[in-house]
Order: sequence, then structure tokens, then C-alpha cells
Amino acid sequence: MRLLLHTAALTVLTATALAQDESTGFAGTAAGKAPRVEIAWNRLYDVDEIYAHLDRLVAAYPERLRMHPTVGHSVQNRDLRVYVLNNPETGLDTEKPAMWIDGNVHGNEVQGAEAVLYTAWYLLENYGTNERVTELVDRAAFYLLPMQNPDGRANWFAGAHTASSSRSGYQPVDSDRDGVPDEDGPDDLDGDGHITSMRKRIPGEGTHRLDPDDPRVLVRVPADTKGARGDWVMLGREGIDNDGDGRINEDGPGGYDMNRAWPSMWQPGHVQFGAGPYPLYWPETRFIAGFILDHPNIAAVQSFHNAGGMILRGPGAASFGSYPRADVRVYDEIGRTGEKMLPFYRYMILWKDLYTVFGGFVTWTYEGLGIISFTNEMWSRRRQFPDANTPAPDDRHFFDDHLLMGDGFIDWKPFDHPRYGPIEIGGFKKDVGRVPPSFLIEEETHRNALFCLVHAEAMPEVVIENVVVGEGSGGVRTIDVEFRNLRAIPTRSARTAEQKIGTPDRFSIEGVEVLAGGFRTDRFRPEAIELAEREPERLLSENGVGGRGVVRVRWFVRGRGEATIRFEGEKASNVSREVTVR
Amino acid sequence: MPTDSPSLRAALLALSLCAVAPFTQAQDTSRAPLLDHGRLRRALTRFASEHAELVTRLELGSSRRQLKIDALRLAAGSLERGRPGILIVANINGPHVYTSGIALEIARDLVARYRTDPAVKQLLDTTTLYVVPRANPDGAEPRFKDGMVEKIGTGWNVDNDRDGRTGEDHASDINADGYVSWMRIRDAEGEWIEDPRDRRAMRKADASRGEVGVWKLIREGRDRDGDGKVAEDPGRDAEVNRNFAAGWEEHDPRAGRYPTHEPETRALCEFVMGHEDIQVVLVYGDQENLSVEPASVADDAAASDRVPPRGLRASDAALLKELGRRYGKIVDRKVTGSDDTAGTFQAWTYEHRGLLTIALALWTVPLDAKSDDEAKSDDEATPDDEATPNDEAAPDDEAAPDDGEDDDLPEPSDQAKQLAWADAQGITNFHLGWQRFEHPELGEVEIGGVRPFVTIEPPDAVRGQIVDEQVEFLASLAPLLARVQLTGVEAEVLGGDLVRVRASVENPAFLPLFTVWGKRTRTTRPARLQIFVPEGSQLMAGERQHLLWELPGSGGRKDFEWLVQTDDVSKIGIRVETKNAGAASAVPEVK
Repeated sequence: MRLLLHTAALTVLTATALAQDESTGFAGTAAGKAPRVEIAWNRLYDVDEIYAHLDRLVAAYPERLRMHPTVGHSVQNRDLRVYVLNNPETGLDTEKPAMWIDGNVHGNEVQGAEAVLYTAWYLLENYGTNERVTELVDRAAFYLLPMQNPDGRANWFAGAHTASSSRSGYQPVDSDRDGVPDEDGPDDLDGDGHITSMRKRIPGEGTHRLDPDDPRVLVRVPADTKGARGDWVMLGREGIDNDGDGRINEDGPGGYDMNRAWPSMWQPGHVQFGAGPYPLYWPETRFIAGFILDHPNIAAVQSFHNAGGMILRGPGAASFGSYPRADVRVYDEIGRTGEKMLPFYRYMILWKDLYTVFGGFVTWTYEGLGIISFTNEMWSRRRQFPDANTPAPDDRHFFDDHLLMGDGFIDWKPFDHPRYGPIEIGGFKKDVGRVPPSFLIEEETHRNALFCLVHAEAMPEVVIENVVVGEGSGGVRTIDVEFRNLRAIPTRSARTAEQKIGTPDRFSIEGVEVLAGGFRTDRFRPEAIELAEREPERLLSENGVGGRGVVRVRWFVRGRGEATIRFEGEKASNVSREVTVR
Repeated sequence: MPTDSPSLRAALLALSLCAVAPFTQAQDTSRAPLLDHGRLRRALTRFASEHAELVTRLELGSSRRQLKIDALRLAAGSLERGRPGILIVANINGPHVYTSGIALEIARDLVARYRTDPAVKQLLDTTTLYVVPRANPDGAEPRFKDGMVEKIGTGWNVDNDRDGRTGEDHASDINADGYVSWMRIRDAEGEWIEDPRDRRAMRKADASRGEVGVWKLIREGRDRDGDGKVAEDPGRDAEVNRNFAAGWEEHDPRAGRYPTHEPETRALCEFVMGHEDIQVVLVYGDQENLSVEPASVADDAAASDRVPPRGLRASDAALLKELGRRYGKIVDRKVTGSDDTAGTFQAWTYEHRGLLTIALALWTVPLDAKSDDEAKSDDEATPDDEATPNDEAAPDDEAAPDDGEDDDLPEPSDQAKQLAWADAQGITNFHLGWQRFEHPELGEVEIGGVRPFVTIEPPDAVRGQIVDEQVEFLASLAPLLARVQLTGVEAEVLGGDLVRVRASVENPAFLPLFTVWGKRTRTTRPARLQIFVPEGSQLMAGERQHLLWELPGSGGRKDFEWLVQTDDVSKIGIRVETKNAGAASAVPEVK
């Protein structure tokens, strides 16, 4: 990474920017502020609309947002665009610590794209007016991929779907192995544009009965209830046996899981569904992996999913063991801050608190690449009634009836099914349950975007401090230097160091003859030094500079003149400082 | 030997080139010669064009350095649906260059014998052979360069010595003898000694016997980055045959960045996935599972954290054992195979694709050859040689104890055994000797050791033999491949127009339709059994379609029945189809 601009220059720039843009910007305060780009945050957007909004932001803020020239393509040939948010006046994006934020790897888990869009919008609109935003945008870069799975999203928006369908990508897969791919998915039998559920009344021989207080709700009859049998059976998602193999809805579009496709601890399809024949098999995943591997400056990752209100981290499987303690401390600090920022969200470990995932995306970015990475499962149904004192009914119909005027539910209607005969079709629409209702989308995206900024602010920042040229004898002098990381995330995570990922950090001095040097191991005992065996003017460290930590170096030099002290690392901006040896 | 003067260096080079002569391609007159990329391509193209009726040239893709990966398809007649395929992959391990020549020669031999040898005719008439003679073209290149080196890595590069630079200190031929071999340096910290059983051989000192190491043994090279270590950060670390997804070892530089990051690896995966007709895979490499009985675990070995243990399953091991017994009748040669299967093609095709995978090492240096003195002492026991005086047989060995008791010496090292074999074969340039050399960074060293590639490449005569054996073995496989048949296809009129139809799917061949992994992974296609009833008739009971996920070999059978309401039994059809084990159709016979 190239040198970051001098701190003094930065301060000047910030002041200028503040003076120019005082009329706009709103860090959350409402009165009299208007954004340059208006985006309605009370709705969800389809693939083209998401890109169009980002393009509007590029047009409004061309100096700080651009589309990366390398564009990936999905199976159905939709763009995978990465937008780069960076202030080029303070350096190239590749020379700064960068945060990767994406969403919507599962096609139905849509609102992550809005959170990515919101992050870009918020940073751009508040740059120059809000001091912390300005500082963050000046020292860090963002790589923003709103949708990992644009095909899944586009089909979910356009087609008849449930809240859970269209999760896969759209490469045809012969899920039932009968030689024909994707020939028996759910069908919108009643032509209402929705896939809902089927139920059939079989008096005295069913498994369910109607809730006496609300006949829209089916209640399971306990199996051990003597004599009392239900009058209804559930018949699954709306559909017929399209391929005549006796089964219904067993081979829908796609049929895999792009969040099981990543290299670390990857396991094939017979261990977990949908992993593909080898890691990064699908073009979307291979493009994303290539982009991330080409950007070793990525120092933080967020990948948005829905739902459940979770801030998830790895490991994805018990057999991994535990993450190194030093990294867990960083995770805990950011994760617990998130719990306070995101009501009803819980900070959780994937395998322990949710379920086992082999080859997940954020487990790869941490276990494979050493990057502190989270997945937020956006939206918790508990947000419907946030006040614990509200006598909020736990049933979904109350919320739908009273706060959506019944718009989220399609009432049961009779239908004559080719196999089951007279049945009823009905249920909740696809945008109920996993995504927030319209009036809560803005809050949901804002809180999650701001959690990303907390994460981004924690990316490492190294400064050179307390350079002391010691008194020497015989022409030999000591130079003591402190390399301090001001942020919570280390320049090289414990995982990075343990697995020797990437390039070690370099601590160097140039301009004077260096006789010896090394890392000091005890701040009170200057003689405690791990001496470099060779090249003392260029010290390497696998461990880098810890979160809010200091690396102390002592060099023994001869001669006079101007010396340049440097820090170079993959995940923090390079810094240097001149020192005069008299 | 000091090599300061240019003329002496030139003379040395000339000398060393002479010594190499029997192993360079210009002089290679064996039946399966070593071919560099260009010559191999030309040979494949010519072969395919000369025998277009049997041979088709295919391309799998390109290597990291943009060399094409070629393949041949051998098949007579039309490629009807379900015709089983056999995939042969050679030279996936870069230094195993000679296996490319073997594979090409096997293909030539099969074609040459097609009209005269009934077994070969059956093979080419009933199966499709895919031959990839050089899966790893980049890995083969160092064999044909001056400064010949046994280097396996061809791919992604890491900073092995963690100095912030990648690939800056690789092994090299510093004494310009044409080989990147070994250097030994007298050093109190050295762990190596000369093997007292053969002083040319180096082995690690055995502290438990009171031995003290006196030599450091390292790859021939310079200390290019001045860190005091020689050749510790070679370029191109990732190995094609460690880059597959089965048992991939993340963060091992040899395993590559992620599975299939190496283009050769991905090309092979795509080829296998794109050819669902493949039933059996043969790999000529460094593993062996026919001559050697490999370790296996129970078919239902318990999973840990949902992940089943890797490796061979007992039922499949039994198949390999029987194939091995048959193989042993054709091939009477001991080989040693590597049991490191992490990230290999062999592991992926078997464990993840469920394909029966035969790993053949073809040849390794025999370790049971007798050394000269052992041979002599054996001779002593024969009556003819009773006159030989005992003292003449005593080994000429300084390390031998005064009492002359050889028994006190440890077993010869593998390298000593290899040398004994080479001596017995009369191979004089197996070992380069140890030549003194003034190393620019290390001072006085000795360069030499066993010559690169001699422990990998079988002698000419053996190569021809290998071709003959493999052709015979391949031909013997044809009747063993799983094949579906329909048997007992009958119709019984129950009364009126109600007919009971019965049919069995049977596999008369030795191999089952699915390996244990195949059943588990379900990556190979199931057999599909269908009943077709004529218009106006109706299927009253039974399924229109069955997918079979299991069918043992040696007469394994599954029975099916249907009830059909029809007035014309002759229009009922039964069909079973597979992707890689044939297909059959039948009309029920009225009982």
C-alpha cells in the first residue's frame, strides 16, 4: 500500500469539505437536511433498480463512488457489479484497508442489497458534513456488491414465490436425478401470482384442526389425543406432479446453495445439501472469490442474509475447534456492540447457536483469509412488537390484520387439484416473515449499515510514534520506534499469523547504516530484543500490530543523516516518518 | 571438483551430457519414448488422423502456462447410449513424464491389435476409452530442460520463507552438469551420514544406534536471497494433484489457493463431470491399489461432525482385491505406492464422484535386488561355488566391524537398495557421484547423489513390457464392467384385460453398478427403469419409473412388477437405461 497523505494535509482537506457541503448531510438528525440523492427507503428494489440507484449515486458523487471495471456474470447473465467507494484524494482504494459488504447470496434473502445500497448512500451523503464519516471515508475503502445472487433475486421479485423459495442460483440441476432438470417445481395453481400452501378437509381423518378463534390457522392435533382426530391435512406448497413421477415439487429451479460453496472446510453434496461438485463451482462464487483474492487489503467482511436477527460468526462446524482467543476478543467487541445497536439481534456462533455450515462465505473469509467477518441475519419478527410490555400476540395474523390491513395474507380459497381433488389454497405472501414490512425497512437498513461502519472503523490504522534517537558511543546510536495500531482489528489477525496467510508486515528503516535491530519484547528492558538474523533494516512480523497494540522496534545504526522509518502491511495503510540522526 | 575455468566447465558439461545420453529423448529408442509437449501433440494428432475410424482427438483445456491438455477417445462403432467409458489419466504428477509415452503407446497398441486380438476388439467395440496422456503439461517441462529437475509444483506461488518475497530462491543447477541434484556439506549440525551398506547412499543418522550425523543434505542451488538458506523459496508451489477437493489441505502451499484453482485440476474435473459414461478411472501416477492391497474402512464407517471418514470402503476394497488378483497374473512386478491421497484426482473421482478408481504406480525401483556381496554370499551356498574362498566374499567396506560380522550393520537404506538394483542392472550412471564444488555462498560443498528421474523412469525394456501388460489388463476389463440387462420380462393375463407384468434388472458382470461412495454421493446417474403402456391401456398398479441406486455385480438383480389393463400386451414396453452401464429394452412374453 502506498503512503497515506500526511495527517496535517488531511485535516485541511476535511475542514474545506465541511465548509463546502454544510447545507447537506444528515447523520441522523432530521431538521432541514436533504440528501443530494433521494431514495425511498420504505420499499425493496429489483436487481435493475438496485443498480440504477447505485448508478445515480455514482453520477452524483463521481469522485468517491465508481463501478469496478471487472464485472462478473450470473448463470442467467445478470451483472455482478462491485461498487468501489473511496476518496482518491487520500490514495487508491487498494492502498487502504477496505471493507467488503455484500448481500442476497440466497436469492430470497433480499433486503441485504438495500442495506448495501444504504451504506453507500449514507457514507456519500454524509461525507464532508459528518466528521466520523469523513474520517472513515478518507482512510478506508469499501467494496460493495449488493447481490451475490442476482438471478435468485430477480426471479423472486418477478415470479410466484414463497418467502423461502428462489434461494438457489438458477443453473439447472436435476435434483430428482431423473434426467431432466428443474421440471417439477411449485406451481401457482390459482394464478394469483403467489405460491402459498395447500390444505384438504378430510373429516375425522386429518392431522390438523382449525383454530376455533381463527379458522385461517391450522392447529396440529397431538398424536396421543385418544379418539380426537383432526379434520384437515396439510399438503405442502402449491403444486402438482409436473413430471408424473408420483412426487410433487421435488425438482424446482436450481437446487443448490451458494453459501456452501466456499473453500474452507468445504464438504460435498452428500455431507450437506447444495455444495456443488467442487468449491466455487458456480460463476457467481468464482467471480467473487477472484475479486476478494485480488484485494488483500480487505480487512473486514459483512455478508447480509435474512432472517432471525443474528450477528453470526464462525466456526461453521464443531470440528473446526475454536477461533484463536485474540481474534475472538475482536469478534466479541464488535459483535456485542452490534447487539446493542440492533434490537433483538443476538451475536452468535454459527454451528453452536444456529446450525452447521461447511464452506460458508464468511467462514472462508475468516478461516481461509484471516479477515474478521460477520453475517447479519436481517429482520426479526420480534421487531413487530418491540415493546416487551405490549401485550403483543405471538400470532402473525394480528400484525397482518392491524398493521398491514390484512395485505400480507391470502385467504384460503377452494381449488380442484388433479391428484387431491377439492382442496384449499392460501397463506402468507412471500414478503411476509423474512423481510420487514414497508414501514420498518428504513430502520432495519440503517441500523445494519451503521453496524458495518462500526466494523469498518475497527479496521487497522498504524501510526509511527515516539521515535527516539539515543545517545551512542563509538559512533553507534539506537533508534527506538513505536508502531501503534489505533484500532481494534489487528493488522494481521491471529488466524492470518497462524496460517501464514499473505505477506508478513514489514517494519523498516532506510537512509542510515543499520548494524542490528529487532523487535523489543519488554518495554521496560531495552536489552530484551528479538534480534533479526539478517537484514535488520527490514524486519518482518507474522503477527503484525495487534488491535490497539504497539510494536516496539530498536535499531542500532551508524552514521548521520535523514532516515525514513516505514510500516508496510496488507491490511493497513503504509506509513512512514522521517528522522534526523545527528 | 573446482570449476573455475570456463574450459573445464565446458568439458564437464560435455561429459555430463554424454553420461545422460541413454536418458535423453534424442537417443530414446524405447517403445514408449519420452516426448516433450510439442512432440507429444504431434504424435497424438498424427495417430488420431491416421486412425480416424477408431480414434478422436479431444482437448480438455489449457495448463497454467497455456499448454493444451490433449486427450484421445478410442471407440469402434457408434457411441450408443449407456456405453461404458474407461478414463485413463497419465502424467498428472509432473515428473512422471514417461507415463505419457506409455499411455500413447497403449493407445497405439490397442488400435494395432483391434482386428487381430478378440479381447482388444471387444474392448473397443463395447466401451469408450478416454486417454489423457499428459494431464499436467507444465509439470512435464522440467524433464526436457537443461538443469533437469524433479519438480512437482507448477501453480500458485507463496512466500515459503516468509520474507515478503515469493519464489525468489529456487533450486538450480549450479555446477552446470545438466541436473538439479543434491548438495552435501560437512556440518556438525548435519543429520545425515553415508550409508555404511553403500557409501554412495545417504541416510539419516540413527541416534538410537549411537550414530552421529556429519552431513547436511540440501537441494542443489544458490542462496539467492542471502538469508543463509538455499533454495528454500521455490516458485510455483501448488501441485495439480493436490488441488482437488477431496481431502484438500487448506493452507498447505502445495495444495493451492482453493480446490480447482489450478486450471489443469479444473479441466480434469469438468471433463469427468461432462462424461457421465465413465465407469472406471485408471491413473498412472504415484499411488497403487492393485499390486498393493490398500487400507480400507467399513462401508458404513461412522461420520464425525457429519463428515464420513475418507478413503476406500471395504466392499470396494474387495473389488480391487479381485481385480488385483487378476492384475497379478499379468503383472509380476512389485511397486511401492504413495499413500498420501490428500487433494488428489484419484481421491476426488472415487470419494466425490463415486467412480471406481484404479491407481497404478506402474514401476518403482525394485528394493529387493541383491547387492554384489549378498549375491556372492548366496552363491557360496551353492555347491558349484564351494571352492570360493570366504575372504574374497568379505565386503570391501571400511565401516565393517573388524570381526567382519555384517549382521551388526543396520538394514540398507532404500537408497542403498536402489543402488544395489542399479548395479545389478549394470546401470552405471544411476548415481552422479559426489563432486567437490566451491559454492559461492556456502564454501566447499559436494554436489551429486542419485540422478534426477532415474528412480521414476523404468528402463527401456521395462517400458515396453508395461505397455504390453497394461493393454492386456485393459482388454481384460471389458467383460468385467457393470452392464444392465432385462431378464424375466413376462406378462401374465389375470383375467379379462388385466395383465401382471414382471421384469428384473440384472447385472451379470463382475463390477457393481455403484461403488459404496457412488451410492452415498449419488453423483453418478441412477439406472432408470420405465414401463410404457400403449394408448388406450392403463397402468393400474406400479410406478411408471423406478430409479435404481443399487445393483450389485456378479448377477445382482432387482425385481419389479406392474398391473396393466390392456388388450394388447405386445405393445407394452420395458426399458432400462444408464449413462455408463448400457441399456436394454424388452416386450413382455405372455406366459
